[in-house]
Amino acid sequence: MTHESFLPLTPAVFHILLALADEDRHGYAIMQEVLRRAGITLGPGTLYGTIKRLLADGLIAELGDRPDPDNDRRRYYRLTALGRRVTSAEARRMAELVRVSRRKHLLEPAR
Amino acid sequence: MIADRIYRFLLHAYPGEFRDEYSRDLVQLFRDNLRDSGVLGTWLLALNDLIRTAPAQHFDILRRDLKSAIRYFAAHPGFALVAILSLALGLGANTAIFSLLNATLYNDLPVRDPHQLVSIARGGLGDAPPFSYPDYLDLRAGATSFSDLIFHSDVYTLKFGRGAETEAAGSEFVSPNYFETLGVSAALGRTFVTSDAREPVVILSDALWRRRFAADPSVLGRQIRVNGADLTVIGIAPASFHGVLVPWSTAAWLPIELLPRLVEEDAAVLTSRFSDCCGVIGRLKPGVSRAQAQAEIAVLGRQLAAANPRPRADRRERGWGELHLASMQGVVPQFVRARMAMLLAILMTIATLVLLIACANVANLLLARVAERRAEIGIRLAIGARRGRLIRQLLTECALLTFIAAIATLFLATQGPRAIAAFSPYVIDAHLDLKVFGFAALGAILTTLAFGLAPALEASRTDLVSALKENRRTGARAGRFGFTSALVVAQVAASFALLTGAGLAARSFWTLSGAYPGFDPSHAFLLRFDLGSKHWNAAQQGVFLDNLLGRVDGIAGVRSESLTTHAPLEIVAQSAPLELEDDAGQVWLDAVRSRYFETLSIPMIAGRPIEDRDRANSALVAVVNTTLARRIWEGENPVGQEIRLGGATRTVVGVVATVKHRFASEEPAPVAYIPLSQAPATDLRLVVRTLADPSNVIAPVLAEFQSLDPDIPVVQVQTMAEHTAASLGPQRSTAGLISLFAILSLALASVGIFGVIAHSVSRRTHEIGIRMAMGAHRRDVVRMVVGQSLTLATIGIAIGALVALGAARFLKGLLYGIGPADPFTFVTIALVWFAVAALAAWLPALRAARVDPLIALRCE
Repeated sequence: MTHESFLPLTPAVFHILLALADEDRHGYAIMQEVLRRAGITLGPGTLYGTIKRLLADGLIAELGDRPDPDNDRRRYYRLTALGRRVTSAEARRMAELVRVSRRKHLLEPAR
Repeated sequence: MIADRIYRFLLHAYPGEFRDEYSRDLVQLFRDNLRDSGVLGTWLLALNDLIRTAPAQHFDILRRDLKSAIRYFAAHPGFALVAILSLALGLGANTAIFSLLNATLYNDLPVRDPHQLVSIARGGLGDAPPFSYPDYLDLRAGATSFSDLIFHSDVYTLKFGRGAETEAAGSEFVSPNYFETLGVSAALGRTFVTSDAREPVVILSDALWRRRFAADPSVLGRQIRVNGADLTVIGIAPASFHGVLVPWSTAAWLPIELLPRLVEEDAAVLTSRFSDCCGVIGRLKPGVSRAQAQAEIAVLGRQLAAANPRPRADRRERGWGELHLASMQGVVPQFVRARMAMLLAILMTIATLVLLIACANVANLLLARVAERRAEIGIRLAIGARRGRLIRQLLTECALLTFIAAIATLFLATQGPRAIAAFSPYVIDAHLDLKVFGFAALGAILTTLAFGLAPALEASRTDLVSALKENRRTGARAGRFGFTSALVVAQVAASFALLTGAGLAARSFWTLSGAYPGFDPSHAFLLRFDLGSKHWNAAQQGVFLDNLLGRVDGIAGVRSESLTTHAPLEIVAQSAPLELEDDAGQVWLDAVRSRYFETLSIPMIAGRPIEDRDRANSALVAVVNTTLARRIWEGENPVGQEIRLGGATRTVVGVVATVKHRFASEEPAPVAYIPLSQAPATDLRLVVRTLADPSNVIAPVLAEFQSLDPDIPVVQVQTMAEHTAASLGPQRSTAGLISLFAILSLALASVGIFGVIAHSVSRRTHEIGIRMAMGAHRRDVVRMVVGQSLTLATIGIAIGALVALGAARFLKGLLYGIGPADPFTFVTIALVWFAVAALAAWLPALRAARVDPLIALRCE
């Protein structure tokens, strides 16, 4: 399965992958990052349902060693190499959409 | 924390698997949220999220389970096929019978707003239609609760066509507002309007139109001959509409005022206040309650009764003025519905038994599979799978089996009833509706649980350690075989009980068809014709009949011939009140010509038969059968006695043997035969005894008849052998249907016993190997395996016999000439079952005997 076949990603998936792009995080950290950057509140079931699928698809992996020794009851997740390729492919796809939108003057500041 | 605990409880909405993996994280997240976002926001988010994601998780598991089930079935097609076929047959039989039950007992008439329709009934009356035409007109004029009242006759058998082309078909005479009030419009042409009341017009049913006119639309406006009158076809009724007397079918509808013109003997039917020929159906006005209409109709009834007092002699006087509303089902006589309901209830019970046998089959197959998959299941449990999850997966497999079977079922449910309805003299408009669909769905769910739950529980009980340690072949625990065997025993028992029921019904049928009906049906035939359309007087009719008998007598191959108003084994017969000094009753009355008893070979016991010298103006005489003679003159000589029959006093001149009068299984019935010349009738049967094969003589007789008068409708021509066989139709179809189900059960149960023995052999290969290594012969092995099967069969047969004996009294009504504990039937069926059990074990036994001890022991 090539990484292209995952596209397009659902918003929840894309946001979770983005949240993991710069840092390994646990569930609540992902939730907060998504909320902070995109203003979207992921519910617990949505978050972990998506995490479960991403794990199964091999886009993310669970960390064996915990980066934060104080908080070792939490599970941390990291983007896999495949996950990174998929995320950037999705980002490029979106960038292309933005380019087209700009050319069609859809991105000019609202008057 | 309490909020924690509530949330943790709510998480049970997720599948166990998901919960196991993530509930700790979900609760942690919930806590973090509570801390950071406040109570309300957290709960709103959590609940909203739960509702949206829990079904998705379940669906995800379902999808995976279905995928693996399909993979499994594809890898084991034989298993899947047998399981699906068993279930489809079992479910299909049930759904088909239910759809019949649904159609006969619960279907509304296919008319506009059927719930507004009520039948008006009279207190104290049985099945007779309770109203005369003047009654109806008064009711219609007086009642204000109804948007209209309909008048409809009972089913009259009318003759359509002329000469040999004639067809007799049941028809209704109706008031012109019939179709309009019911809200049925014509499929072609038009329905009646008020001005049609006296017009010679007719509306054909779809069935009659297709049968007689090949669905030719140009029949509209054409004249057709009905009971000798020319009527113009003005419309064709829709195919779904069979009249208000369903399950009796109506072939045509005619304006009520044609009744006296077309049916001779009912000439005064519309004018007499006491000729209660017909039923009245009302459509309630919108907004009028049943109670209001009931109150009004009760008052009208009392007024009617007061204004038209009945003669005292009328025995039905009691409750005459008490009118009440009844459901539309009341239009059909109670006995018809009761008989159909009983037959369908028996069939439903049988079909349920067949389904249970099928379930036991599939359960056994699955149990065997579970034993084989024990290692796989053990491994899954070892790596942490939940038992509930395993049960769920196995039940999903079962549900998939049932689902595929249910699709086949719906096919059976549409085709089955049609096939069964074809046997039935009644209209059964069975079709798939929501009720049938719901029944099939419910049946499928219960079925899945019935056959799936035991194997699933069994599988999940797998003990980890032993499952992994055990070899797959010896994998089952001892206790499990007990359950499997019990299922097989139950199957054999149920099938045995069904087979004995079928055997009893079949033997009754054979006994009946072999029983001598009291007359000789070989070398004789019957030609039914109707002189009604001729409007002859008695003298003219006598001339014609003399002429006919004379001409037939001259035809080569004819030995003797006569006429009667009713042939033996015709279900419809005339009766007359019998008046005795200290007793009263009904006696069947046949009017016959001379040589009648000779022609049918009915033995004379005493005195003389009806002869040509018995004319209209000679002394009134009668010949009685032995049953009637014994009843009135026990121990005396009846000849020379007087008898009061239907208001006339007759002298008994002879006694004849008792024949089966209306049907083969009847108790001996009292019959009086009187001279046709003394009681002229128009609906007649010419009976002819031939020297050789009657079918060669039918054509010349028919030709002679036509040459005498081509216009007289010949309703039916058949040999007496055909006639006798046809009279056994209901018994034949009952025995046939029960046998069909019983054979199905035998097939299912024998597959069951085969499966169990085969599985047991394959599990005992090791043991058999040891036995053979110890010196056991192949013969001993075969004996051991077949013996195991026969033991199961014996227990099953013993239980089945007890069940059958207990249930047989319900079959009593269907039996003839044998008791419900008929030893011949029981022994035969037991032998059949022993043979089947031995046969089912034969193949596995041979396989066991071919076991090579070396290989069997090495493969451990």
